[in-house]
Amino acid sequence: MPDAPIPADRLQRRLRTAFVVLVLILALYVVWSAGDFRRAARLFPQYAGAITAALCVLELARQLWRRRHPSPMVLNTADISLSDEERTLDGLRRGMGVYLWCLGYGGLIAMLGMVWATAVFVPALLHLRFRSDWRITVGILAGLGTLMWALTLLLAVRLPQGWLAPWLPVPF
Amino acid sequence: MLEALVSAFFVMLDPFRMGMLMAGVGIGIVVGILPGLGGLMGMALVLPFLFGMDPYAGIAMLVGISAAVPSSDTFPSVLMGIPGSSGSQATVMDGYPMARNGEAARALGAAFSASLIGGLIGAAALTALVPFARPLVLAFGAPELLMLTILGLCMVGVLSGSRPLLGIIAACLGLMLGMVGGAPAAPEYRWAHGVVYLFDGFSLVIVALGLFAIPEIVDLLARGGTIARRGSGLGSGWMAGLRDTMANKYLVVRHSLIGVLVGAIPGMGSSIIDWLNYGIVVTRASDRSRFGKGDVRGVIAPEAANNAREGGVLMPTLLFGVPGSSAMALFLGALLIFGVQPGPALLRDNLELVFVIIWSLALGNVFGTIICLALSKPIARLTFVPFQYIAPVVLCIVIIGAWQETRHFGDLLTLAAFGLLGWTMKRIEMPRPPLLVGFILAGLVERYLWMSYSIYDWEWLTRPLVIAIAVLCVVLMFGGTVMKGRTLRATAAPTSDSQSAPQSAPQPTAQDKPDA
Repeated sequence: MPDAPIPADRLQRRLRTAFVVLVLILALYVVWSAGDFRRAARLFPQYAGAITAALCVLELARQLWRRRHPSPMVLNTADISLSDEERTLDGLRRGMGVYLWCLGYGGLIAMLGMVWATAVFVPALLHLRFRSDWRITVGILAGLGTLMWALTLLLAVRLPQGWLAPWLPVPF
Repeated sequence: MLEALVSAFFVMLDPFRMGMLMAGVGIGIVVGILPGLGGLMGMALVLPFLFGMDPYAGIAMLVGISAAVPSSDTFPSVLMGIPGSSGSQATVMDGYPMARNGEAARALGAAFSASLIGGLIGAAALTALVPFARPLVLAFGAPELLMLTILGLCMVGVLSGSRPLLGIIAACLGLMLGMVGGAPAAPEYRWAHGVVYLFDGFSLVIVALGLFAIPEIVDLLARGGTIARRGSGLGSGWMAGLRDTMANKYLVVRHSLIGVLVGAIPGMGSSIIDWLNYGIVVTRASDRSRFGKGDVRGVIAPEAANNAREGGVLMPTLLFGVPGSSAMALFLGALLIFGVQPGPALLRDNLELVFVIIWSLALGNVFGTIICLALSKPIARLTFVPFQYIAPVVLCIVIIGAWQETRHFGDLLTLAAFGLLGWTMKRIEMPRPPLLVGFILAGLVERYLWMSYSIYDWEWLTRPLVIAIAVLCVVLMFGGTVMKGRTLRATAAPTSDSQSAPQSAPQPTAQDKPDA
């Protein structure tokens, strides 16, 4: 029998709890490891870490209490950024997929350098993921090429050179 | 004082500085129009390219971005019912119904003219404050400055999300991340684990790009499709919009002053100011029947307040070194990059720069409004471009920007790590701006704490001004939380009830987009 989908708000709650626990662990680590520093270097980290740890415990207690005493959500106009559909596990997976695409771009840059990585990544993204028109892809590539050329020429900006850069011709 | 004001104006007349201000305005307009991007991201994008630049020009560019966003974010609010930034959410309530009634040009005309007047009032208020604030600020010592910094941290934490405790935890996380690298008060490297790349700590530019640019790119790409549906066009009635603003001049002045005052309280997000002003204009109006259906006053009031707020948020930023908003936190970071210490030292040693910032704000508002009015039609088309065509360009700029920090592959790894952190925080609705504010203020807090401790031991806690600021901190934290709760409850009902409000209004793509 397939697993029932996790409701969006429950998934978000779990992730939030996990995040606070991670911050708590980090805060405790900061307090513990700062003990090795001299006084001027450890004063602030120890206080900041201890306060953070206390706040995390308070937040975890609040979450536990809220779980037992649920209250209706108050609409927050400041941070509604995701639709209900995006809050689900599927939405999470889709976002993670795009993030991996971006990581792949970073990997390509490390291998081929900025210029060649862009020449590979942009058509791949637009065609494999978005089924875009070739003319638009070529236009975007031309625009990006011009942008990079202009940045290197006008602002003396340096572009990342990959490990294979010595064997690849780089136009600028 | 007057001499510095005049000399700052001539400093700004330099063609290169004016060009950079215009470039900033142009960038601000583009990022304001595109929901999902915003003033903070615009600033983060240009920050890496400011190294080595004339400080006046670089600062003018950043202020130009900050001044133009509150004007240009009106386009998507009015045309598509999607707030261009968190500061234009309330504009949707009446702006979009006006557009659906074929009065888009009138709504935009009223919004831009109100924005212009609001922006100028904000700049004038900031100018007027400097002579009075200067002696007060110069009397502050390290303990008082420490308390002010803590006040800023608490306020930003409390007010930037629906869960105050999470906001403060995010600010604390920022403080801890800001501790990595060389300690400000001792010759010691902390948590670098022998990695040379970490000796200088994480770069502000990379942290800002990772926290705000990468998550927006990822989510907009994952969502796919165009940013907005095609609307019915702009129509005509620009002059009618300008006349509306003139007819409601007292309304414009009143809400501009509210925008300045509330904006001066650190952490008061633009969405709060926006909704607060919308709430005030509705409750004080004698005839409320048209609100939510296309009342031009519902556009004028929040837009005037929104632009005036920029003058307000600069007050704590420049006078005390306490960022008035998350975008101002980045601006504060930029000042530090240029070797400028905000706060009392800035007022004492570099008054001219303060006035350059004020002139940039005033001129940025004027240029932004003129450009928005003149290029309305082509600008409006930008919102219909599918994001997958914009994303590669933005991603490319983000990576090139991050790379300029140390030109080390550690920059890209850090960018990826903070991108993942920002995206995760966005997913779990944990406010990201407090993290950035904490990160930026970590060094300052530690330095002030150590100075206070080494000079006064713990007796600094008994200084009258320290106690007064601590009390203010507690009062504002509770007051701010209550006020925010009331504003949200008051606005939640009309947002959900209003039949004329667009379907997309409650789910803006621009939303926890930090106060731009």
